[in-house]
Amino acid sequence: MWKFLLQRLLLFIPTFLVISVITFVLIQAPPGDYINSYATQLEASGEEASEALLLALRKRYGLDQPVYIQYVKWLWGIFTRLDFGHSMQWNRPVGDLIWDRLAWTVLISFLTIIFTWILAFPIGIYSATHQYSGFDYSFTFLGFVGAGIPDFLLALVLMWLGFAFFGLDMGGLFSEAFRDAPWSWAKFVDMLKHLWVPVVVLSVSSTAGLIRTMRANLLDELRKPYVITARSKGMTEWHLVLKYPVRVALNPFISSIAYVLPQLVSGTTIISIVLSLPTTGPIQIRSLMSQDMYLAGSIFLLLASLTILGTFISDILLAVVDPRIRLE
Amino acid sequence: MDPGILIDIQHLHTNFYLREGVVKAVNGASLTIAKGRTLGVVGESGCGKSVTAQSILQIVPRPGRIESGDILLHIAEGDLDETINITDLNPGDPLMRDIRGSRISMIFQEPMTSFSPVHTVGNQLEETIKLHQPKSGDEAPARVLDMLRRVGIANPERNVEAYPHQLSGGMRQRAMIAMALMLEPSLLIADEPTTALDVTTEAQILALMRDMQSELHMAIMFITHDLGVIAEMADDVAVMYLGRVVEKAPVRAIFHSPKHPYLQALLESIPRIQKRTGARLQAIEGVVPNPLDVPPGCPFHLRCPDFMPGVCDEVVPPDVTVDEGHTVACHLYTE
Ligand SMILES: Nc1ncnc2c1ncn2[C@@H]1O[C@H](COP(=O)(O)OP(=O)(O)OP(=O)(O)O)[C@@H](O)[C@H]1O
Ligand code: SF4
Ligand SMILES: [Mg+2]
Repeated sequence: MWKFLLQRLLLFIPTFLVISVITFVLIQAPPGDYINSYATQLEASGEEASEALLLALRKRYGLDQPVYIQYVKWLWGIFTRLDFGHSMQWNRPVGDLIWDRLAWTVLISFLTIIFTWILAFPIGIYSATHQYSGFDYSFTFLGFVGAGIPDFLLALVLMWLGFAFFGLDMGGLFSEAFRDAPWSWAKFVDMLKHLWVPVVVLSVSSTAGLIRTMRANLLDELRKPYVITARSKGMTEWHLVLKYPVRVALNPFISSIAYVLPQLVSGTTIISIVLSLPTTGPIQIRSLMSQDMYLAGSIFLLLASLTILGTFISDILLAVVDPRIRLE
Repeated sequence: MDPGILIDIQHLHTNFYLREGVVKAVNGASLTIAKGRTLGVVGESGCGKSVTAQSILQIVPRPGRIESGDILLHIAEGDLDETINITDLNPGDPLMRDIRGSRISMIFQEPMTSFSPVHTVGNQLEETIKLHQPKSGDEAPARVLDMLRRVGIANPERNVEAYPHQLSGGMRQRAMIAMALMLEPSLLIADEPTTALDVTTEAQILALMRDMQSELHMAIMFITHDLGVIAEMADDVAVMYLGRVVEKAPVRAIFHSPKHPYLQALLESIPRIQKRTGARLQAIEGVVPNPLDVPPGCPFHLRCPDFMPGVCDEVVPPDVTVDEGHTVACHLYTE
């Protein structure tokens, strides 16, 4: 078990390095750099972009150096000072821009996963144990509807409903009054009032999927001989279902933690734009368009690391719940 | 009811209601299991052996259901002397749950998949005690160890902590037997308990079952399609065909004076030499009819060499007693 954990932990480092290289290469891949797009911008607004100015800017941001030097400097800064470089577009350190946003992204994703599970578990279990019942059919139908509605549409509809019936502005995470206020209980409550919208919107489609998964897994497990054994011992039906097949059917859920995260993060982007949420999504898109390389690169790198972390966590959990893995 | 009888099944019908139609898995089967004796149940694949066993425990999986018939369970313990008709109980009835695992328990063909893969052997064995004797408290673990020792599991202190995948097939089946015998049931149903094991292990498991039977005086319903195992294990035999019991007799009579044309064909299909070893049932002309579409009259008439037109394909043959404890359902023996 400990050996297994250590192995996974050690694997983290090379994976991180590989991802950082890929990120850097990808960001460099489009022709030109930030200075080019900056020049285009200047010209579009009628100003003159002199060669001298562009050269000076390139020098200042280190863009005149070879790519691998830029890469090593960037990585060195991250490892030694947790310095993710400088955002050229915002003219601020990348760190200042992303930590808050990253925290919001993780919070929203995390709440979404929890909410999804709270809904999907009992519904999936009930659907499987009452296969082809009216309840099962209703949720199958609702599930397909939920999976079919585009997230952003649902977000717009919720916003409109909130506005039309309650006069609420559901955009953002705080009301006008609290936006710049220091943290307080009232501010926290205000946040919850806003936070549920993206959480619900993001949960709808993944809940539908997860109900199907839970139902299918559990139906498979319910046919296994060990269920018959448990029944033949005299266990009550709900007791045996919860103790045995549900327990085994959980494993695919746990392994899904790893890939749910990146899905959610990219899903959040559109919702964040619609609901104007301060997550990483919107600035990520802008940084890519303007080739603000350190900002874009850092966001990619951090999200990718979170995904590896998710894999790591799900590996550990899986080993905890499944002796067949733990005792390999 | 005859005091020597433990289970008396009369005209049992158990159906599966599928989209394609009704599968009459057990179609009027009658048999009895005597206290402390072993009833071998034999027949080709799909003839309803397992479903009969599941019916006794009321654990027929959906979409199956006991349609009609009686399964009488005779309980005689000290002053207690009563007969319960299992088919009167709901599968979820507390009395039914009480019977399962304590008065009647069952072991299965696949000892690997019959245990939960994510719980220890000890956990699953202890559960049986706790389900039926909630006040057993601290003594349960000791009883589990004791039972593991009795079924011949080496190093029980360590193996009680093992997960099923860590044990060998033979050990798993021993653990399964330990779990089934934990509460000293009066009937152990064994549904092809050695089919998944190699020959040596099979012999050990069979020996263990006989030992445990003489120790605990329980009856065994032994399901197999291996006539060699029947010869070795059974006191009495019930031969099933297409959801019916076509012949019942003490084991000697089954091998020495088989009456039903189906049983005769079965025995002839085994070369003499193999009679006592692991010979399988096969090589009878024709195929078993689809249980979705059971033929009228005698279920065997489509394959029977003694087929009598106008009788066999119209009238279901009743049980005829040809000798003491020997009955056969065939028109050749009706008056
Ligand atoms: N869960 C089920 N759903 C539908 N049909 C079933 C189910 N279980 C059994 N049957 C049907 O009932 C009939 C009797 O099956 P059963 O399992 O009792 O046969 P068996 O004698 O035990 O055969 P085998 O030797 O292969 O174990 C078969 O035709 C089978 O297809
Ligand atoms: S009843 Fe007729 S068909 Fe059936 S076994 Fe007897 S002789 Fe054959
Ligand atoms: Mg069977």
